Formats: sequence, C-alpha cells, structure tokens
Amino acid sequence: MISMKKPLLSIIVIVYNMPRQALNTLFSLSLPYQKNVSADDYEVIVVENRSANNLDPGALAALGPQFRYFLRAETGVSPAPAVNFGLAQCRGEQIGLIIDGARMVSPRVIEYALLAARISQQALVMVPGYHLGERDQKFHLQTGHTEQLEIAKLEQLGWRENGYRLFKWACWSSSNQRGYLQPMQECNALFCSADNFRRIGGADERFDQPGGGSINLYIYRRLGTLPDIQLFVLPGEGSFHQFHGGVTTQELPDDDQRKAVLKSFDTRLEEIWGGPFKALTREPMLLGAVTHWAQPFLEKASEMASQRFTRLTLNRKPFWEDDAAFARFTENAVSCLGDGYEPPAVMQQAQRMPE
Amino acid sequence: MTRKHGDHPAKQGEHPAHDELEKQPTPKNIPNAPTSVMFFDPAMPVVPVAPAGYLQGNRLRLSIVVMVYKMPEQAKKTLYSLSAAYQRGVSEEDYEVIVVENPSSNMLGRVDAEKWGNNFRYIAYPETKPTPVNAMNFGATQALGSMVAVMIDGARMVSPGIVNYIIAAERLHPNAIVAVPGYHLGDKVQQEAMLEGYDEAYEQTLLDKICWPEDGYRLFEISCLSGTSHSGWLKPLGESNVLAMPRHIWDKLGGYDPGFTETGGGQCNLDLHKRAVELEETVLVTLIGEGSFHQFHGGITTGTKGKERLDIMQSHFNQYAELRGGPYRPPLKRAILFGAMPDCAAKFARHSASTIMKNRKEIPRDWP
Repeated sequence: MISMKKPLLSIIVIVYNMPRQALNTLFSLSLPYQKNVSADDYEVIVVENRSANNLDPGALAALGPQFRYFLRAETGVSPAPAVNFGLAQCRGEQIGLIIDGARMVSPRVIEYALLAARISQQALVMVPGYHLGERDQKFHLQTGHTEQLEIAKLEQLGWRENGYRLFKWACWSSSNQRGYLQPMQECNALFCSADNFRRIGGADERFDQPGGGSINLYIYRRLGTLPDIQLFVLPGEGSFHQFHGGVTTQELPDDDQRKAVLKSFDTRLEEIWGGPFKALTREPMLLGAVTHWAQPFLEKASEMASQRFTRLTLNRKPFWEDDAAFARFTENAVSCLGDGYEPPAVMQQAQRMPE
Repeated sequence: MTRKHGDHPAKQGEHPAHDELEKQPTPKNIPNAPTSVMFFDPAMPVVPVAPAGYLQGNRLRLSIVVMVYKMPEQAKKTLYSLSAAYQRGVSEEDYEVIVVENPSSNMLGRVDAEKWGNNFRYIAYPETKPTPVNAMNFGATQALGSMVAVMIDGARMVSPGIVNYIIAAERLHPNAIVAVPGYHLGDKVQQEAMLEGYDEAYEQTLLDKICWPEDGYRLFEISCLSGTSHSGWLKPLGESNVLAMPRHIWDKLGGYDPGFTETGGGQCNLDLHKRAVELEETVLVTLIGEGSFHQFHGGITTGTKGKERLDIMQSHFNQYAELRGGPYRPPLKRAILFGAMPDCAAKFARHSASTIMKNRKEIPRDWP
C-alpha cells in the first residue's frame, strides 16, 4: 500500500543484477534503521533493470510501505534511462539518487538530507563515499576481498543493528580518497530538490556506456555548479560500496583492460561536459553529528585539508574556485605575505574597522 | 589508508579521564570544580518533530545581547565583529545587537556602543552588585528577535559567520540551541599566558599579524581552545560564550539564574548552557567553523593570578554546587555539527577528532 500522503523526499535506487547487495542497500533505507524519520517523510523508488538475477518483490515489500518497486526491461547497458524513469515516479519535492544499488548508507542520511533542505531550498547534499574493506575494491584481487568475505564481515559487524559500524571496516573511495574537505569527484548518494534535477535535465542519456560510464560524476558536477547551489557534506554519514563485480570497482586480471574502460568513460565525459572535467571545487558546509566510528575519517580529512590549504596558499591559488563568491581566505593570507601581490578588487574593498 | 580503524580496544582499569584533568588549566583538587566529560552520551538524540510554519512572519530573526563591564577597548573590537560590516551574508535588517553595560570606572558609553550600525542599541544598567546576570536578563527582555543570543563576556570577539549561521540554525529546528566553541587569543589560555608576560600590547601585535579585521576567520591562526572547550568540539562543550536559543526557550528557562551573585556571574553561563541543552525538546547545534575569541582584559578568571584566582574560582564553584547540589558537569546531549570549515580552523577539527580517538578506549558501549 502506498501512503496517500505526499512524501517530502523521494529516493531513487537503481538496481541491476545484484539482488543481495541491493537488498542490503534498501534495508539501510528502511525503518527503524534510519533514525528520526517516519515512513510518511520519504519514499524509495526502486528501479530495477531486468536481468537473470532480479530482486524478490516479497522481500522488498517487507521493508515497508514507503518502498515502490519498478522492474523494467532495458535494452541498453546504462542506468541513465532508469534514472529518468525513476525521476518521473517521484512524488517528493526533494530527490535522493543512489545510482549504484550496491551502496548502503548510514542511519541519519535521510534525517540530515531533510534538515539541509530546510536550511536552503538550493541544498545539494553529498554523502561521502566509502568502500567496504581495507582498500578500494578495485584492488580486490590483491587484498583478497571477495563476496563471501564481505558477507561474513558484515554479519560479524552487526551493521543492521547499528549502521555506523560500517565505518569500522571501510576506506575512502578512490575518487574521494583525500577526504571530504577537498574537492570531490563524485557522489554516490546525493540529495537535492526536484526543481534542480529538472534544471539539469535529469540524467543525460548520452551516457550509454556500461554502468553509465561517468554519468555519476557528471550529475554531481552539473548540480554542484548551478550558481545558487549550497553544498552540504555529511561528515558523520557515508555510503558504503559492497563488492559486486561492478564496472570500475573490480580488479581485472589485465589492468590495461580496466584502464582502457576508464579512458573511454573519461573521453565520453569530456565530450558531454564540453571540455576538461575536474572535481567540483566548492566549499562544503558540514552538517550532522560525527559518531566515534566516523571520527578517524574526520581527523584524516582535516589533516589532509590543512595540507591542501597550505599548499594552495603558497601557490596563490583559490581554495574553492567553483565558488564564485569565495575570495576570502586565500586572498587575505596571500596579501599578508608582503611580496607585492595584488589582491583582487573584491578584497581591496574589505571593510576596515572605523576609528 | 595507513590507519586501521577500531584498533583501540578498551583496556580495563585505565582512567584516561585523569590525564585529561591534569591538562586542564583549572587548578587541581579544588572542591566542587567542574568535572570533565570525555565523550557524548552514547545515545543519539531523538530530534523532536518540528511543527510546520514556525518560521513564518517577518519577525526580526536574531537579537544578540552583549555584556560590557570595564573593558571598553576590547568591547569595541567585539562590537565591530558583530557589525554587518564584518559579519558575512547578513545585513543590519537581519539582526540587532543590544549592548548592556554595568557601571564602572571605565565605561564604554552609548556613542561607542551604537556607532557600529543602526541595529545597535545601548542600555546602561544601574547595577550595584558585581554580577552581570540582572543586566543580561534585562537586556534580553528588550530583544525583538525570534532567537536570543547571549554573550556574557564583551571581551569575546567572534568570527564572521556567527550571525548567518545562527539564523540558519533556526531553520534547522524550532528548538535549536546554538553553541559556538570558545577560543583564547594567543597560543595558550590567557590565565597561563599572562604568567609569561602576555598582555594587551602583545595581543595587538597578534591581531596586526593577521591584519584583523580584514578576514575574521584568521583569528583561528593566532588562537587556542579555551578552558571549557580545550579538548575540542567532538566532546560535550562546557559552555558557549555565544549561546543562542529561541525566545520561547529563553522564557521557559527564565534566562540566567539571578542566584549567581558572584563576580562576573560565577558559573551562570555554564549553568544556562546546561539547562538549555538538557531540556528534552531542544536540539544542540554546534558551529564548528566559527568561534568566539577571548581578548585579554584582566577578567575575573582569565586575568587574575595565584591565590586570588584560586579563591575566586573556589567561590564560583561553591556557589554552583550550592545552587545545583553538586559540581558542574557538562550536558551530554550530542551536538549536530554545522558549518563550513575555514582553512585555519581545520587544525582544531583534527585536534578534536584525535583527542576523542585517544580516549576511544573509554567509550563505554556500542550505541546506535
């Protein structure tokens, strides 16, 4: 039974050929795993591209009335059409997108996404991405990371009772390996208004490569470079990638093969972006409690951020160059070096304390 | 990743809390001294549901009440740091500043209190006792804003996002209590630094070094965490020197407790912080990228030495214990952290996290 009340938030989860991992992901979006929200607050739009391994609709129904399941026949290899199909089903004014159904999330992702939307209608909420295991799963052959190991480890962690324990067996995704106080390449669980998704035209279906290629990077940067967007990062939350033999998250015996695939993704990305592509460089606003499980990552992120800030200051580079309004810290620090550097006009107008 | 997570198994019988107390600038072994709390309550707060429409209306969003007593030069810097010229992303129409001054031999006066903008108001409060409590409570009755922020020590200048973030925090929740970590100018807390010659002149050289007030965030470059926040903001904060709360919560608490009659109000600010945070319906929001920065001014606990300081602190602690039935203990409600991280404040984020990690073995149980 679908609730008649219009939810605040619709979360789209795309699933293809990974029923076990997807059920974990969907469980991580269910109640009471998610805290401080009710079933009326959100809905989960599960869009599955048919494969030989589909979800069990019965198991899904057991997760709660806020889950809506759509099984589609897809002739292509990209999730882009499924994302657009999902967007058309959404009833909420806020949208969440988990384009890789193998990414389970921590327990306050929904609560904080809704809080951020209350602070700003232009909120773009970024949940930092992690991989389960000691190292990025693209090295799974070297580290011996297998599905069986992961199943056993998840069981041992007892993550269903406390999703923050996932941090205990996680590492940064390699696309964001310097932590969340830096520019980030991609976001695997993001939230923003339905209006803003419409402004970028949904998912660009020119990303027709396996897994959508770099569509995820593209969507994040498109949304993040909307001029009035406010970027929020949840330092105490995470999306955790489960091993499923994904397109770029598994190690192939021939590494050149993986590199060639990535190269083709990059080429397509730059074609569609219309030039060289780089990580979104906007100052993140942090939001949310940081549990002790996540604190080691906060420590590391702030350490690496300090290093980056120092390097950029010495090199006279702006910290957040995608932030049009951002012209403050670096400029001032540089102007104090006293070497004749001329700060930009915006800083020359800096207010002086009246006498 | 070189760090392995979770490799700090709990060791039975160890008491890191003891080490922590050793480092506290508060003298040891004083009866009724505040106790340190090493970690947040294991239970995450359940955020009470927000009623719809509480933000509607054109009411002024924020009133900041600032206490000034016998420190006009420091107060001028503080008030400038609260002005719309210094605060980012807000204008004079968004908030007001109410300056309350108790009589002294060295007054700030109306002209110097109100020259920072049309949103500044001055109240000379005819106090005869040494406590700021009555003046602050009176100042708050004059406040027009839906949020009331109190700054009981006018010597604390602030970073440039405070006003903007407090207004934003009100959108987070109708019962948001906003706390700001406290810092001291200088590389160690001023009650210690002054023993080595730290004074107002030296402080001015520090401020000149960062070209204050050009970029107020650079205050983090020349500051250290103050005593009540010394282990960082991932632990429960003992107090906040910019403490904002909705008007209805202020009214419910009755503001500062007039029972605090000691010099400077004794521990009235800690007490208000605790009572506000411990209300069941409130949500604690800590602004991690902002700060209040204490300027040296010969304050009651930050500018006195030796036995004099000990005696003063002892009577503050005793009064708290008398009023509340025991020594002060910070409220345990876990904070929602909020705010961007300025470059020069990142070191404090690291300090906060590593302090907790060092003490991790002490975390008593697993919690959801």
